[in-house]
Amino acid sequence: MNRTRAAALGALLAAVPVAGAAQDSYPTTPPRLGPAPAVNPPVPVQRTLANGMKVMFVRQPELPVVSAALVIRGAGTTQDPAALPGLASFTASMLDEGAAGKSSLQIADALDLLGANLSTSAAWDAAYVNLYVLRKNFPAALRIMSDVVVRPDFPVNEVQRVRDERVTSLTRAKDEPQAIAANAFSSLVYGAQHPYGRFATVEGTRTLDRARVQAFHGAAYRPENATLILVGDVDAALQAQVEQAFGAWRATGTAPAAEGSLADPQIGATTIYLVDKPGAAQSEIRIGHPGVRRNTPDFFALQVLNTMLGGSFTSRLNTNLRETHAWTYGAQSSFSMRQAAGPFTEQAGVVTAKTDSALVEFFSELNRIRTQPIPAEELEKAKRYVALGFPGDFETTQDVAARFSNLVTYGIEPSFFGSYVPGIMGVTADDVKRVANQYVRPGNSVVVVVGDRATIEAGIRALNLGPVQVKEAGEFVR
Amino acid sequence: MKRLVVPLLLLAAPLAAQEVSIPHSTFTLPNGLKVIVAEDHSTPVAAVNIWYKVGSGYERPGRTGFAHLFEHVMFMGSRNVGQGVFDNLLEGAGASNNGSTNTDRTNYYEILPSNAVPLALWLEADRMGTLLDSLTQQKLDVQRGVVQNERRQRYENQPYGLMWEIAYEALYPAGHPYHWTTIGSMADLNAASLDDVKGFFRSYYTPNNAVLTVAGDVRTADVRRWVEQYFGWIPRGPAVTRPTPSSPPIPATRYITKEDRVTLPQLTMVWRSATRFSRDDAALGALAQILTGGKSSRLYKRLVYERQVAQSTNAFNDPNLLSGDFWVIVRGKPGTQLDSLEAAVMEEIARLAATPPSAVELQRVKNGIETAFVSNLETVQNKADQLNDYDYFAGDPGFAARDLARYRALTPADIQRVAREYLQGKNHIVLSFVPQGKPELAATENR
Repeated sequence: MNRTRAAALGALLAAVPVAGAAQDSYPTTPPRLGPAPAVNPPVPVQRTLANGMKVMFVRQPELPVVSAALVIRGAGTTQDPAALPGLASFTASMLDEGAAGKSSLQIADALDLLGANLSTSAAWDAAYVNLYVLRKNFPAALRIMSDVVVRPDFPVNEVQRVRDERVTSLTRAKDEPQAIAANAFSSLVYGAQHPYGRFATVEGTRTLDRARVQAFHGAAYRPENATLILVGDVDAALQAQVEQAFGAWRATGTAPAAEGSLADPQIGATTIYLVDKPGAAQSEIRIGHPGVRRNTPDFFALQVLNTMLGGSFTSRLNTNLRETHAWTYGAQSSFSMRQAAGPFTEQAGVVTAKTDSALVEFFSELNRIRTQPIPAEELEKAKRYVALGFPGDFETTQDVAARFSNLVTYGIEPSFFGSYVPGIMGVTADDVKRVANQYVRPGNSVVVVVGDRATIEAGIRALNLGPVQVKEAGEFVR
Repeated sequence: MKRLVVPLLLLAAPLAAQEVSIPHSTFTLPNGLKVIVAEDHSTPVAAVNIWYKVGSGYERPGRTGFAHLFEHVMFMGSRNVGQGVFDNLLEGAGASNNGSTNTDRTNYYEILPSNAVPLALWLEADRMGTLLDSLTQQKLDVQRGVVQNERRQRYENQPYGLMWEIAYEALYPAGHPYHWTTIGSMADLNAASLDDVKGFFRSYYTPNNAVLTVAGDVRTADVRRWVEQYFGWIPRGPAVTRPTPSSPPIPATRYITKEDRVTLPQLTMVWRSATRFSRDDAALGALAQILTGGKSSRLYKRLVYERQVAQSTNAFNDPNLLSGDFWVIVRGKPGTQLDSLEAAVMEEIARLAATPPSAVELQRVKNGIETAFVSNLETVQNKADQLNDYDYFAGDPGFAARDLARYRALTPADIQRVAREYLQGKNHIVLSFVPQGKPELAATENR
């Protein structure tokens, strides 16, 4: 492997002019590297409590800290009622606003005195409660963590306060071109019948109340759907403490299910949606369509494809739009892999005057990766970037907890980590070409441009990429 | 910076726990390059992190933003590394890399699997030794365009994005190098020439003006061998003159109003504080936390939690090489009169000046800082950057223990004292961001 890599590095440098070294021993070519270090992903010890909650212990004793991540599957945004997007996220944010008879301030003060960081959140497919604390304070912090998960009180005054903060945040979202672009894109790709196409609104948020939050918590926060991941100076001897903290947890009612359809929406011929932001210095561009679910058999090929297209600094999109044309601070692409197919998105903020030219380059790159041969050196670089960087994904206790959280959310076994490097290194040019043609569809894309309409509209229309529709920002942030 | 500018360090200076130090060794090459090595074999990764002792504080009027623009040019190749090859080689070795510029220094770093350390060292040496050999107008022009888009994206197209620029212009007199921001002005970026790049490189990008730190899964003897081979031939540069402008006190409290495309009015208040690692730096950092760190902090609890007239509060001390500033930023709910928020800030400062905080209030802050310090040491990159930070600003890469000591020694009386000495009754800047057409929401003198 080392020899292969050294040869490939030489090939990359073949065109570089080499002048005489200022000193004899100074090399004018990059050093040959020794073999890459072996990857030893941590192996968790797994236990199950009587109530069905699972526990993973991942021992990393180098620093006297514990990172704890509780994953509650099925308590995420996908499970929001169709009529009330934001409920899962709001419920998660309310967990530490009063629990087990202790007030919001008492909980915060106790955590602060322990020097503990506790956060609660909801993503698409799960709710997460994360704790970071010095080992010596872990037992006390774990009890608080279990209180907020198992015994939240949702005091009415706190529900009102946090609800008002959310209303204020939504009210000001229209100030942010990136927020407008994000909501417009997901909404236009998925539509309101799909959970991924909905977004929280001021009007809906005002209807959030204690009863709805309490009901969602009771039904969605189920011990049999939960896994506690403990990383750091820990071992399975802590199980008794975990049992004591979480053993009494029981759910009520039936687990909520996604409302509407999780099937991929059909995207017709590419359409450009122009949202006016008068005087904007840049245009925020989003291009894409439904992508792929997390449990795709093409996972590794898609990682390599995306790295080449827009997932790394030297990717095609960034090289073209930033390093060649200097029209942007950065261009990226990503596959958001969820339980169902989340969006494939290409994006950049580009200087207003070059909005139309940037769109041309975006589509040029999307077509090129589908139709032109994949150069071997570029493919190797992308594979090595992903595979050799993999050990770095496990550097901190919080990194490790995050990696396992993702596996747990999607029901993937820890052995996946052992398959990662071989999986990436096994990707071929044909694989990349195949998944590019299957999962990148420039002819059936939603294009959102948030920018100064007066300056950019004529140029965009002249491109004839597809029909241009003008939308109001107020359709997507309201 | 290459991908992200951090105009300010928003966190309090970290605090070492006694049981957690940063073991390291140092050596210096004959050309003046100082090297710090911190072995850590817990994960097979390493960080190469080099600081050049130059930032926007070394710029002159008419060339603002140049130190940062120069940072971008450093990624465009050198004599033995063609354009685009720097990043290609690193990505091909599984490494990520970046750089950043602030008022006082510019850093560059690679985070990589430990076998790739020699590659990063060679790439850093090649650009330190030979950048100008392959410099072209095209390379400068491309990065000028990228940086101008960085300015558009991060400042001009962001609500409140011009806050830093407006505040610094008011905080420091014309001619003081903190009068402008690290990103600089569009006009000055346009004015930057190839000759500027050459002069800057010869003055500041020299081995004697740099410190190289390697942290992670490496052997010190190996690092020494590589560094001697790759960097040893680079000639020492001229002695560097550090900027020594006086930082006069703010001459008078000043109210500034900016109408912006924002929904929420925002109040920013800034006082002059003190330089990095000077006597009161730790106390001022703790004071900021007592005001806005955590739900029970004084301003958060009063304005966000209880009265619910503000959406967020944020206070921090920002101590730098030449001077320091103490910031309080309060974002109001829609329609909130910023006068009322200003009055609340002044009352809380007066309260702390009159009566020290409680012991438990201070203890909460200390414990949070201790956790943050330990957390910071979990990555080789943070560890390397911290060593360089201590070396530059405290004059000792082994400053961690003393850093710890200054926080542990803080008493409630210290907090009271710095509230009196730096804030209470002192001249400051009051900057109101208000929605367009709503100047009446701004804080004003004698309202």
